[in-house]
Amino acid sequence: MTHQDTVSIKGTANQQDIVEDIMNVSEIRAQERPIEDRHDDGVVLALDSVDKHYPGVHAIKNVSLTVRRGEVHALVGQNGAGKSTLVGIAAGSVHPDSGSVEIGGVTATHPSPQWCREQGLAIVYQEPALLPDLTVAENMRLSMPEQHRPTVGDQIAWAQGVLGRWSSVAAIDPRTPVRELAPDARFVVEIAKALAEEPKVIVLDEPTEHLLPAAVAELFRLIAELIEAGGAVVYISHRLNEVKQIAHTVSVLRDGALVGTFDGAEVTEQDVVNLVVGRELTRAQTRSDARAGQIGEPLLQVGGLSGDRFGEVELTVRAGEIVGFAGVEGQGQREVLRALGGLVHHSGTVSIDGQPVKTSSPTAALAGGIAYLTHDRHHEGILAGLSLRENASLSALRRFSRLGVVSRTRERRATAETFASMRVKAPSAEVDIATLSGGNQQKVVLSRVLLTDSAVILADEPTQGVDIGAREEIYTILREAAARGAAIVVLSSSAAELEQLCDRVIVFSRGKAAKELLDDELTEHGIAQAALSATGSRTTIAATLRKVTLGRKISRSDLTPAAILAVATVLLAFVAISQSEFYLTPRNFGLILPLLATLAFFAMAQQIVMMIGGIDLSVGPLAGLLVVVGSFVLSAYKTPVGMLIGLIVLVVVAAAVGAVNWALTDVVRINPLIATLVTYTALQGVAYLLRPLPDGKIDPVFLSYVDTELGFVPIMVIVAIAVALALEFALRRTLFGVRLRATGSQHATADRVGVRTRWVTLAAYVGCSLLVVPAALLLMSQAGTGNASIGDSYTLASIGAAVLGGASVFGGRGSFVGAALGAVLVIQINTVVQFLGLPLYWQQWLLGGLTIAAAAFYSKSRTLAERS
Amino acid sequence: MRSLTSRRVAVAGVALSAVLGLAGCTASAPADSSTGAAGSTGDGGAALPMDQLCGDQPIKVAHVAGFGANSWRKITQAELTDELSACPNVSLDYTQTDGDLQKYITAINSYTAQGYDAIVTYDDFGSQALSALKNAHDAGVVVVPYIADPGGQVGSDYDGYVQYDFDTEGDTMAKWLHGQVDPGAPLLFSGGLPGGSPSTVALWDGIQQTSDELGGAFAALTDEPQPSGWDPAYEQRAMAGALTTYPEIDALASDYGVASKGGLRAFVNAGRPIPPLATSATDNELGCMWLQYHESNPDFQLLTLDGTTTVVRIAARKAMAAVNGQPDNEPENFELPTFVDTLNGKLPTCRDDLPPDADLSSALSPEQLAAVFQ
Repeated sequence: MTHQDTVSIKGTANQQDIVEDIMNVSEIRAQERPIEDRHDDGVVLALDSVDKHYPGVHAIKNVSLTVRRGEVHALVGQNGAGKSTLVGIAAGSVHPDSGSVEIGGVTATHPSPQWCREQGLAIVYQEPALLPDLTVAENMRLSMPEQHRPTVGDQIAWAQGVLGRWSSVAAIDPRTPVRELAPDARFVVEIAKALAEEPKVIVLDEPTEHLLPAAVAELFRLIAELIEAGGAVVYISHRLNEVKQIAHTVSVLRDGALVGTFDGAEVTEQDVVNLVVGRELTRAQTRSDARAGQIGEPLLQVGGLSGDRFGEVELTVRAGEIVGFAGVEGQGQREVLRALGGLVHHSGTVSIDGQPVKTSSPTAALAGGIAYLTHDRHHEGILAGLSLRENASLSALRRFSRLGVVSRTRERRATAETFASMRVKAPSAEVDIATLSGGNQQKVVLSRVLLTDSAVILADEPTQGVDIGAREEIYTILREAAARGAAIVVLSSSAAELEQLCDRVIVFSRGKAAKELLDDELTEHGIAQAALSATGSRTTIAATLRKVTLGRKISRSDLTPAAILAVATVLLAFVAISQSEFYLTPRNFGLILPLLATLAFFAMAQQIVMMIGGIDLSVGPLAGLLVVVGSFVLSAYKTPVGMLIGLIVLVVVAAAVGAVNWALTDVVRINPLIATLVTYTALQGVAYLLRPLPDGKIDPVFLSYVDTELGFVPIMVIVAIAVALALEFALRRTLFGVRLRATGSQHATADRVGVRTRWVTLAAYVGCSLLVVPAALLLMSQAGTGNASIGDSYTLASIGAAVLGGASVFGGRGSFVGAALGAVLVIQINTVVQFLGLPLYWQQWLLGGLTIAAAAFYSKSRTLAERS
Repeated sequence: MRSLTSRRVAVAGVALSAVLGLAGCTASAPADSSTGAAGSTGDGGAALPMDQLCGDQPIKVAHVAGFGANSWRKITQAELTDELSACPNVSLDYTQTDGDLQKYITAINSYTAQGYDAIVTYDDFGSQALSALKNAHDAGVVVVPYIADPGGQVGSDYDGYVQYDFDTEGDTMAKWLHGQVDPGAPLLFSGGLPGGSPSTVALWDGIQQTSDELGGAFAALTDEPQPSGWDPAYEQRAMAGALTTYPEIDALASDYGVASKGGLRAFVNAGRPIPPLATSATDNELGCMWLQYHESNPDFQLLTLDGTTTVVRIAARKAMAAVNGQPDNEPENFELPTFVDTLNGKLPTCRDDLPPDADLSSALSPEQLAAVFQ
């Protein structure tokens, strides 16, 4: 999900004055150090007067920026200052309204992501642009520019080489699907990938937000190497100490305008802070200074809390108290917090004010008075597509409703008050939350937690991805909540933050509360030291979310469903053989196999479209239409040339229908379900119009070709097997196959890494329709005449078989061999039930049960990955 | 947060319905039909009763119906069982395929592969399944479709075929109605699935032909038959629509009396007088309805051409004759006898002891009929 920074609504008039003062200062400074002529040899990236409007906001105001070889160019600014938009323009993923982009001496006004990459610009987004269903190696290969792209055969070794430089930080197996990677490991992959492009300039958007100190050190070492070798880096970060540490040049953005560009060595951190915020920021208050209320009686009491990664945790938090959770990453502190929020399975007792509270689910915890603020804003925090108001009020709707009807007035009033007190910057409370900057999104999510009026607030990294100004505001908000008598637990990886915010800090080690820091010990240094000494140094990242066992490897493979189906088919065959002497006869197979080939073609056709996350309901009626058209263009008796022309007509008709489906879904942007339902009906109509009743004899000579057998095996079965294998190979080993999976895995991300998803989608829909042609030929031989409704029942059958074969309705996963074997199993079940003389409802029982089991089983691993 | 969540949910919904589809919620097929296309007749001798066609070898017969979930189909299977019970050397297996073409073909295929001697079948899918029947025939299985026309030729595609005699049926209905209404009276004909079922169209052609011969006896309200879905509820909806569209409907005809009950209810609900009805394939309840409503609707006369469930017996005898190499003197066109004619004193009965949907024209005894519905 891309997140576009937008420009905030301006603050108070008083602030405005200060802003202007500082602007003047910065202008003077900029004049003191005039930007050199941009056409010198050293310029690798130049943005010339770029301007960008979004509805309601002027996101980028005529910004010009020059990045030279051998420099780390930091870009700093508040959330919403336009940093991400600006680098998006540089990377071709955002189109500027005016202005141009020059990379490596070549200029373009509307660059595409591919163009930028080929000119030598690599970008690491705040949210890794990785496709969850592709392996690490496939992801890395997919986004490489042509000249650096390894062959498929070499991609594993190549990826191992690239990731090898990071082996001290994280051991990542390039064969792992990205959906199984831990968030920080994804970042390592993303950065390693970008560096492997050997870019002239690399853009790093908040690269260290997700990284551990060791990984940050490694990153800085690699950046230094890159600079040494004549590369350039655009570095976006909130962490000014990092900026100060590595940047040669610092550009400050505020409200979409460039405040100025400065020599990194000559500005102080405080200068930058003032420029960024547009006002003087006083030194951080500490907790003791800022404490407003009294700490009261014990409110939250936790006893014997145990779970997978923690054990026997005892905890008491008093009313008005803010307790910090600290520790090196992965010591169980997050799990404890999430367990209290009802998000992690656990045992133990939790009570508030002496009353036991259930924490078996987030709903139960919330009902008991415990509200949890997530650290993973993108996945667990915001509901993209809903407005700020709806995002904020969601957990507290009961407060605003009577008899299940929400009072919009009360809801508006409450959210408006909260937004005002938090200084949420947005055009209105009704805009989509996804259009806000990270810091404002975080404030809205925090609003949701506060609106619940819960007695206990669990805040997990409350200021992650939030700029300095907003950070102070969030601290104030939490302090105020405490002053009102709430018990607050804050988990933060920043010791400074905990020092500033907390009355007491608990340091975790190996799933236990190892140390408690109070009063004088409660300093940034004290916390950091306690965390390190309690844990011992742990510097590597756990690469995957869960331990990769052999069982998991097997269950995650897209070919596992195929194997399961094959086993089920063979088992059923043995049952049938043991019960009937007629099963294992050429006659039986000669009769079954053509049916099998028909369904297999349908299933593979459906699989192509499902691979990109679409669906094609029109395959059945398309087959009917093709049979009807065949009854005209392949009527008895044709010359061989006539037959060929007839076949070509069928192919053209099918391709045209595929193109229409594509146009409806991708150009007109109708949901594929609706779009192909429209074509479903339209195709039926056309077919009935051409042949209201079955009529028109199809050339028996032609049909005899279709029915050709090798021994007792129909030639079309052999064709179906060949097509399945060829498509499977293409899916795994060709660039097109990877692009197909990439498009289905995450459309927007695929776009961003340079896949032309529009054409991939076209190819998928047309390919699907073309695969219906051989199926239609088999149906022609089945009926012998033009029959409009003959294919209708295959629409649902094709989806069912593809799902059995492991296709995900969400796209990105599945296999053609699996789809074909899904068809085999369907036919096998129908046949065996018949041979065993079982009542026909057994077909439904077996098939329905298996399909539901299959869909549930296959989706399981995916669900786990999406939660990451 | 992933985008397009709603779409994904929708897609998941379709996948679920695909699963349910596979699990058996398939569309229902016609409840009953009669069919067109003329066939050849026997070789002139007398038709032999079943007990003379048995032979002395064990014989395996399969009955395959494309659809089985209504009373007509159940009675038909019972009639077939009863007919073949005359031969102790014959075993009968039955499969109905829930209106699913692929299952139907699979059933034909597997009986063929298992070496059955004969397949008697109601091909609800017409020519779509012809190749399966032909494959069975070519493999040496005696194949006899009945009533629903698979669209092939007796001899080359299958071994025998029997259907209703349509022209006669249409002619009888037209003449019976003609006697009760003014020339050029508006007539509404109901039957079949949307898009025109072949058997329905054939009966309609028969009625229109006689109407023309009588010098335009009726003015047809619709060019094509008004679909009934062979389902009373469906026809009730269709008829309710027709009643608002056509201010005057003087005569009704249909190919399935069970569905026409829905049409009659629409008249009752609309408070419109019920006109005379000529129909076929009726049940106990239709008779009850006539008895209930004819006094308040003086124009409501009823003609039923019945015995439709007995046609499968002819198919069975054709199959047995072919298996044992005996002459097949059964008709290919079965003339449906008049079962009820309220104009001419053949009044319907209403049997409390039998289910409403029992076909009283069946050759089964009341006990056998009652057993079907237990």
